[in-house]
Amino acid sequence: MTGLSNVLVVAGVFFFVAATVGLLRLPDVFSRSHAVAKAETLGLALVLIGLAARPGVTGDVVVRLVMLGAIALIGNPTAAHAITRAARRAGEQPWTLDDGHRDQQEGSS
Amino acid sequence: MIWWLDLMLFAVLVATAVLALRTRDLLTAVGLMGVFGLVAALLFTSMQALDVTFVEAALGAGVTGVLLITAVLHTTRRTTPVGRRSRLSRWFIVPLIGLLALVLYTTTGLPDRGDTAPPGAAGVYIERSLADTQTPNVVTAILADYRGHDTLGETLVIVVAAAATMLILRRRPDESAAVPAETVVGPHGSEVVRVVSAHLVPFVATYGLYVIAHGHYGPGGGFVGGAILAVAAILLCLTARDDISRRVLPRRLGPVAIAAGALVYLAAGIAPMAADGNFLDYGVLASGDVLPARARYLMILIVEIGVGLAVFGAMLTIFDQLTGRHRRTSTPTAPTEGEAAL
Repeated sequence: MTGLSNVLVVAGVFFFVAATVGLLRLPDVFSRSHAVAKAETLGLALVLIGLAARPGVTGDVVVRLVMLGAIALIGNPTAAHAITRAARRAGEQPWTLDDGHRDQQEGSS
Repeated sequence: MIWWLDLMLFAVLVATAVLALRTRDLLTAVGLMGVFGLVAALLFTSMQALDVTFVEAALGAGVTGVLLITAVLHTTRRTTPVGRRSRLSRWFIVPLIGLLALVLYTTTGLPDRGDTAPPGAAGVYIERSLADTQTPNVVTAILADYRGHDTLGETLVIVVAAAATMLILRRRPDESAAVPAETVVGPHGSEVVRVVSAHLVPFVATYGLYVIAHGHYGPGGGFVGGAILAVAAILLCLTARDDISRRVLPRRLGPVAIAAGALVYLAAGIAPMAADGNFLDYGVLASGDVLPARARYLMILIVEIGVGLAVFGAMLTIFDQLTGRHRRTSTPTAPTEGEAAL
């Protein structure tokens, strides 16, 4: 069980790192939010399942971990939705391929 | 305690504080202060000070952010550029550094983290609080019983803060209702947010009540519980229709809760005096089957309820005053088709 738990927690941490890389590297608020909301929710779920699978974790702790997971599963996507919606209403434009070409030209010239 | 984790968190803490001070955009500063609260909460967790963690997470990373954002909407988003500092003001740094050195020096006299028998009053509290008050959580026993005067003072400070906000932002009846141009209250345009919030609010509120009642046995108590209750109320105001939030949270609820909470605490202080005891000395209320320790246990619960009411009322009152929730005459027009699609 400890081995399974370790694998799950490491997998969860991988998704956290992926979310962070996405937040730093992606070009606009929409794609960043996309990366963070999805990868982070999955990462947290994996870490929580990994913790619940640890030997010596009793039933009441598992219940708490499940509740934590449920809150995150509902709250994370909702918060991401609210943020991107607010950005769209504030006039933020999604990054397009044209922006990419322009950035490339400016970078090379 | 992992020392490099502490060091890393502390570095992030200082960095966020400096960034928050230097940014010109006040909303960015508010966001950074939220991060500051979260990192501070993590630091407190690593010191195993879970009661403080709880307060910092609920207030520092939670309610304070909302209150500051509403305050920014009320005033201005950009800070005015500071002119060149005068030569004289530079010398103010000298006493500040001296003070910092003094504070750092005094920490060398503190007992180690996790010391179960520190010298002085702290050791006495740890040794006797369970027998004295039947309260396993030493922090709660100290806050609500041994140091009841301090906690009463802290509660009254919050009451005064809410009263000051009401006085500063009040409008005479003949003045036109001053409602901030951008408002945050009222129905949220997104159905997802509305539905999720409507389902979260009762759970958050129940959790707040649980935290108030559970302070004897776990981290928590009146301050955190009241703040969590206020989170539920503020979430409702931010997302639900005006008529719903006004019915659940009427105009007078905040001020009445503040007054009731403060009066409950003061009454708990005066009750022992009626039994020829000292102010806030609950032990003398023992009679018959109720031993002194049991009396103190029960009075701690009453005090926590009073603190919870006062904190909840103060947060709600400040939020109501800043958003002008009850002065808004009409609900904003329904979102247009294009906005509703977002």
